[in-house]
Amino acid sequence: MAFEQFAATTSASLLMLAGIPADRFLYAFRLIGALLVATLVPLLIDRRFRR
Amino acid sequence: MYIGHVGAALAAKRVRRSIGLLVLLVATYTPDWIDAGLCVAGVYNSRELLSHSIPAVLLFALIGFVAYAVATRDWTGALVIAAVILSHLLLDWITGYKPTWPGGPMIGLQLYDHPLADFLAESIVIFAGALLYGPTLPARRRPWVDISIMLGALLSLQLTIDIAHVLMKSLSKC
Repeated sequence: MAFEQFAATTSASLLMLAGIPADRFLYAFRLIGALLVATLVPLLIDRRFRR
Repeated sequence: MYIGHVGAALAAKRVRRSIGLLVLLVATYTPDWIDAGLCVAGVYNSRELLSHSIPAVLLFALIGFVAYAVATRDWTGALVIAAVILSHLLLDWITGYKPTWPGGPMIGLQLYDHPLADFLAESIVIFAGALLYGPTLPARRRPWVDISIMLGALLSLQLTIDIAHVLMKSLSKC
């Protein structure tokens, strides 16, 4: 089995075991990641300005 | 709207300087955080009725108002928090396509399908927010440098998102 196929099937299986479908996990992961970046970048810049 | 929401938070900082920027940033992204939570919980609605409809956002604004007022006794600040939460919906109507109420129509210009127009609309909001935010910073010899750094970072983030949106159009939602 090619590594990519192994990695893909293993990740998907782990997610299914956790009860989270892969599509839903990826969407939530992307959205939460984007929200964290959009929050932390201006916040950290602001903190630096006010030091 | 993506990074444009930060523009609303920065503008609100000018209106009420005592409110921390973190609180304003959480307020401005409240419907999106709810969206992410609903997705993880497995109760996501594809029309985003529970996170982006008018009654839902009004409810979040009311909760934000009460929570901030109870925590700080600052009623004006609480009004600003509620307004920032409501601004999410107004800004999303410019760039997205969002529900009104259960059974109601979807409205919005859906600029996400036109990345250049989306970038332009978001940039205008980011620019206005950064300009209003500038005077809230401690006095410096070259205040425009600080504003430029914030503006550059936010516009870079928005550009990255618009490019990613073009490259990954096929990615499904929750």
